[in-house]
Amino acid sequence: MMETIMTSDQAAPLSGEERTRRRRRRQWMYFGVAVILGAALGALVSAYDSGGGDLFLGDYTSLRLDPALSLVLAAGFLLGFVFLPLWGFTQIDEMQREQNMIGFTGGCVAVLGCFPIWAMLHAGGHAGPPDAFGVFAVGFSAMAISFFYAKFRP
Amino acid sequence: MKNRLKVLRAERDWSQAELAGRLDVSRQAVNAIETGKHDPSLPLAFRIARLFGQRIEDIFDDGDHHD
Repeated sequence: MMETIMTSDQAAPLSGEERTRRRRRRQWMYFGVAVILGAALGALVSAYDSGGGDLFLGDYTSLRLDPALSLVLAAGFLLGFVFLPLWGFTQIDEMQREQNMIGFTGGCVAVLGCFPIWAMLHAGGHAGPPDAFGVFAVGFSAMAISFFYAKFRP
Repeated sequence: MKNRLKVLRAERDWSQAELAGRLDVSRQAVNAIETGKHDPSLPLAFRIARLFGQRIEDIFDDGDHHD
């Protein structure tokens, strides 16, 4: 019974080029959703912060948000920084997955190393105390550098 | 790893995008395999071999011959 049902794919098999175009469209949609989500979260934080902080410049301690809104925003960042990238991993091919894994490895290693190194530098008077946003920024930067190294290495 | 992917693709007059779609990978992946920048996984190597009706070792050459 199931075999007799015709889907549009069965009726007209897609060419390889059309499949590639669809893959490219999906990728751009992913980027679009990520950009829109990021812009929306940033705009909401900026619009509803009553403390004069700035999440993206590291002044997160001054941020003051309505408790309910803060939960919504936390859920949004969970979606944007955890679930969206993990889902993205299922949508890419093995080469892109390898490049992304190298990027994530760079970010992870940077975060693991950043805190103790920074703490030692602080203990010796070479730097201020370790800062959560600073560790995040180092991890994010290392992730981006590692990814672009993997993507464009000769 | 050297391979004959570009030759096999050219014999069928397929673009990189056409081959990529048939293999369900990105065009960049096909380009990277053809230029030796990316070694395909075993499952992908089998898909490539089946698509061209050849054995994996007839398409890919790791340069380690023991004849």
